[in-house]
Amino acid sequence: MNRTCRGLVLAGLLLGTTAAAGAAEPDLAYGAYQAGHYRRALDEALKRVEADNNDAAAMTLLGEIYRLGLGVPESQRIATEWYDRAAARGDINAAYALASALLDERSGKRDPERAGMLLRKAAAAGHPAANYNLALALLATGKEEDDKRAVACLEIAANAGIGDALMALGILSKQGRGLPQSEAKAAEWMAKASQAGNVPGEVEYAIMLFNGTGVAKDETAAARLFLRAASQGNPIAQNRLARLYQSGRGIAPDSIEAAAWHLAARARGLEDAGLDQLFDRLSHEQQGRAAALAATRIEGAALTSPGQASK
Amino acid sequence: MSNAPTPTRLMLVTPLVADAEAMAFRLMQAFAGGDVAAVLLRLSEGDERSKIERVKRLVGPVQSANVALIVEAPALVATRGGADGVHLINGPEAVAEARSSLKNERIIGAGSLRARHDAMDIGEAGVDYVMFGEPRPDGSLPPLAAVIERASWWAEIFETPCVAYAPDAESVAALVETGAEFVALGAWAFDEACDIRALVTQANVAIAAHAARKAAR
Repeated sequence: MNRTCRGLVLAGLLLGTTAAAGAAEPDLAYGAYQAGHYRRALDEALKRVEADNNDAAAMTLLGEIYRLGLGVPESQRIATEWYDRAAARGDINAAYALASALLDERSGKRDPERAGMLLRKAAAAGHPAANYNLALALLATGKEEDDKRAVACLEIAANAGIGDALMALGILSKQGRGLPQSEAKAAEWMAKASQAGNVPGEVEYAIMLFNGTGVAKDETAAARLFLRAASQGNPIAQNRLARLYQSGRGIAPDSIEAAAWHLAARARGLEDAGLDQLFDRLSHEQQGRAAALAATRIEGAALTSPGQASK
Repeated sequence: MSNAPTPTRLMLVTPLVADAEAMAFRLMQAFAGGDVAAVLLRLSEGDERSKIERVKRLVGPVQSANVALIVEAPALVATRGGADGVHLINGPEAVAEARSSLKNERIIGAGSLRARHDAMDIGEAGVDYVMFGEPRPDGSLPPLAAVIERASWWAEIFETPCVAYAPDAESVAALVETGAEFVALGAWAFDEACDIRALVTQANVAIAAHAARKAAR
């Protein structure tokens, strides 16, 4: 969860800053930042703040540079100081980043109450990630009217293409929470989440496709989607894909592939007695091949899936 | 003292500050240039409340960069504002008084030390540092040669750290050579025309060069 949030922070900032940069003259600081020239980005942003103590976009960029430690020693506390100043000057991305920082001990000024206020402010201004996070907070209260507000927030985030928000709307449609219960609607949201590259969304949609829940049954499409999510390191998808290879549903049967995906899923803690038996029945040579395949997949997923690569 | 080679670190001495927010930006700029150990904040006139308010506004930006904030003001202003220490210029009695109210929880530094015995008296009163070379109350500067001589003498003999105030960028290297624990960049570094970040970087380069030469010996 923590990782997801931090990933979102960045996504939100980048979206917003690009928009802001488009309005003004060529933005040297942000351009340098995008090109990966972080020291130059820092130089330019500091120059801008020196020239104009109200340049909120430059301050937000400085916060971002310090938060991620790009070309400077990482410091959540310095980042928070910059976000604080930018937010005070009305920068919405900074308000959101500051809200996240104030929930974190490392900012040196943890303040959940103020964080909530800033989050609501950023959400009201249409910041997608702020809307998503506010929705999570609203759903946690368990009150019916908050569910409705959460759905409204999620729709804003979903419109900006935030996969987690699309996925959340799918789940809420399934449960009939905050909006009418509808498997068909749920399937639509899941399909969108899956298109946005949201891995849990891919898994959910694949299950719906396989069972024909809310959408026309299509085992082949389900298998393809499981394969995609499995390759991104999702253990549930790896387990389901292994079963499809075992039974030959939606995909040509292949015991080695089945065993390999099972091993990958088991490495992530997902047990399956039926697939264990399948593995035991393989010859030594086949088991070796499956293990070798599984090893490349476990490593490959660690390198490609965004959540796992972080320190 | 001389056989414990603690490398010199930087201190920044601000001009008299009226607008804390503008100073916050200037300081954050400076910290981006490299290591700074402490900021000595000097405040322009105002009532106690406005002074505390200004200290409060600077505590965040300074302390978040792991820099100590020391204020030239009564102990009350420094503590209420959340600063790390006070800088006193009124002799040993003031130090004793501040020590009794601050205990050992805050830094107490002293400046405005004219004669050697002034420095020795104040050292015995139990300060955490002594400063040499800062402008006199009338704004005039003591001769650099005298400051170098004073700082070298102190650093050689006494345990209490000393701060050598640099009157301009050119004298930083010479003051680092004295072995003083701190070299201070003064109000001049905050002038509009000065790139304070570059000054901090250059001063740290001079410090590193000195340390390298010492290690090579």
